[in-house]
Amino acid sequence: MPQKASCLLLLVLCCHICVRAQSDSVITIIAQGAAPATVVAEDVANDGGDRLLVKWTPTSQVGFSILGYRVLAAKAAAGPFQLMAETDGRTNEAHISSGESWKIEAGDAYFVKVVAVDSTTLAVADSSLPDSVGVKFVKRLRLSESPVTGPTVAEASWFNWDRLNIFLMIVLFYAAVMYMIKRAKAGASLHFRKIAGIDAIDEAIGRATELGKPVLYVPGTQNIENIQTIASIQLLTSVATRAANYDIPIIVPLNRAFMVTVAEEAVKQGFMNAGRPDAYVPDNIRYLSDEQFAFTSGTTGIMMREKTAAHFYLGAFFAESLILSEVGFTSGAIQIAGTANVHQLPFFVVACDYTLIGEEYFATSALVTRDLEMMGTLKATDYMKGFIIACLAIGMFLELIGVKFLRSWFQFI
Amino acid sequence: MIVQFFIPHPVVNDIANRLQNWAIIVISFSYVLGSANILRINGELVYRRGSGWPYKLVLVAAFFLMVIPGLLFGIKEGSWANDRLFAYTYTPLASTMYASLAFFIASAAFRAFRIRTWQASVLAITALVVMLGRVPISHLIWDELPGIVDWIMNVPNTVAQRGILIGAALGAIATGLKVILGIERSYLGRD
Repeated sequence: MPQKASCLLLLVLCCHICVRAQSDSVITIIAQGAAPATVVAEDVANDGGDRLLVKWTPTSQVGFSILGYRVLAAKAAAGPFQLMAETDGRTNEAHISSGESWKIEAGDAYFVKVVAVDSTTLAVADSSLPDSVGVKFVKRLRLSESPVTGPTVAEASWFNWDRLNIFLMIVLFYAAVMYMIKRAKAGASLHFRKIAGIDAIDEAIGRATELGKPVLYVPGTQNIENIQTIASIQLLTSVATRAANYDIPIIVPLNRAFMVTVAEEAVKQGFMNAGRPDAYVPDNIRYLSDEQFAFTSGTTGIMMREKTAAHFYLGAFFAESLILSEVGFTSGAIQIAGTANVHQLPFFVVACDYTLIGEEYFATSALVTRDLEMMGTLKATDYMKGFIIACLAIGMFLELIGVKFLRSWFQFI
Repeated sequence: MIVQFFIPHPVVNDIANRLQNWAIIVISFSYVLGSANILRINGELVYRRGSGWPYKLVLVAAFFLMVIPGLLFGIKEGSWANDRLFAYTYTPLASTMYASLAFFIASAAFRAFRIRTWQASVLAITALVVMLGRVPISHLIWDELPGIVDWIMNVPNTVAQRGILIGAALGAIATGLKVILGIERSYLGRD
């Protein structure tokens, strides 16, 4: 009996020391029992040398309920180790990469260890309990460290071979563009289907001319790095040329400050193409706001106050698309929209007179200018589309007969 | 940027990051140009008492009301300029504008679903089925209804969207190539 009591007293004392030494809520015990049996660290291929892949096998010993794993890395075997990743208890691998305070850099060697986290029950002294009991049993976390693995060198790749498929497709497309431009310049006949929205551009400007009211051109709500905005600026020059031919002002409200100079140049060029540089009014290129709905209300205000008669919404649009086009519809203006943002297309289709859908929008500048190089590019796009449709058909057939290579080759990584 | 997509090496990454930083700096300075554009156009109209000048006056006043306290007190969350002017003034106004979408959707839907042609009939019937299938009591109307709606959304709707997306993606690549090859220069102010 005295032996039991002294054992209990010793246990309580140990626990008390642990409680004082560690934080009150979590007691960590370094043990080996639940530690992963093997840990392997390897360089991740096709990256910039800033990631390592750590794999481990769970302990073969029974009786452990692993709550999770912590992956630690250091530049020396002796440490200091940094926590790089945490996983749940069912995961057996993790990518570790540079964080805010610690970097994995190409060419450097790293040592890795994995800590298994499980829980254990401890007896803890509790003065609130009667003296005959004296201790209470609580669940605490237990950490079990694997041996240190390494060194593993993080290596940078000079080519991402996972993206070879995309690279080859771009090269193929580039070759098709070059070939079709050459053919177009050689005078080959290039046929394109008629797009109602393109014919309507002249109709809309004609309507504005009849009414003697300005044209409103909204080049989307994104900056110049957006490809839809670049396509819109091409069209802005063409629309400005037509407006200048009819001596009609063109108002361009802008959602991005950077777009001011770009739009000014595009409109100025349009007026110069028409031989009317004197008719260009810089005040009609108006930066309103970067804020989405401030810009929207500003643009709708222009529609209502200046009674614009033809509206062009060409570019990348989001929630403002329906507000703009519905207010435009209410004002009675003829409206032409074009975007590649699929979710905004239904709104434009409902509220506008003509809508350029996806690819039509990108084709417009070539069909409006009839420039040979642009027409060649457009024809190459058509052939590329045919190639993709053929790939889809072949891919479907191969999938049906159980051949998977085409799908895996086209998979984007 | 295209090279960086295919070559992940730090040498290329560093150059790409440097270029991106330059772009950020240039874009930051464009706000000065944007502000000048606002003040030049609207200030001149106010000065000349042009048409709608009171609106322009409000705009110019609001511009300074935002800029001056922002410069003086900072724009971090909790600052006077952010809380009083942006969070409590601008944000409710923007939310109101966004909320007006509900009414615009109703008016647009009314026009879209007017049955005048057989295509409009298909659209109206499909919309009706989808709307009924999306309400919480849809299974009480007909057990199969939610399944039919899922099929409409996942098969015909997704197929059409993917078709548009493939075409648009090719158009975007073609436009990018035109810019890279110098075929398209109008965004630089050249035809």
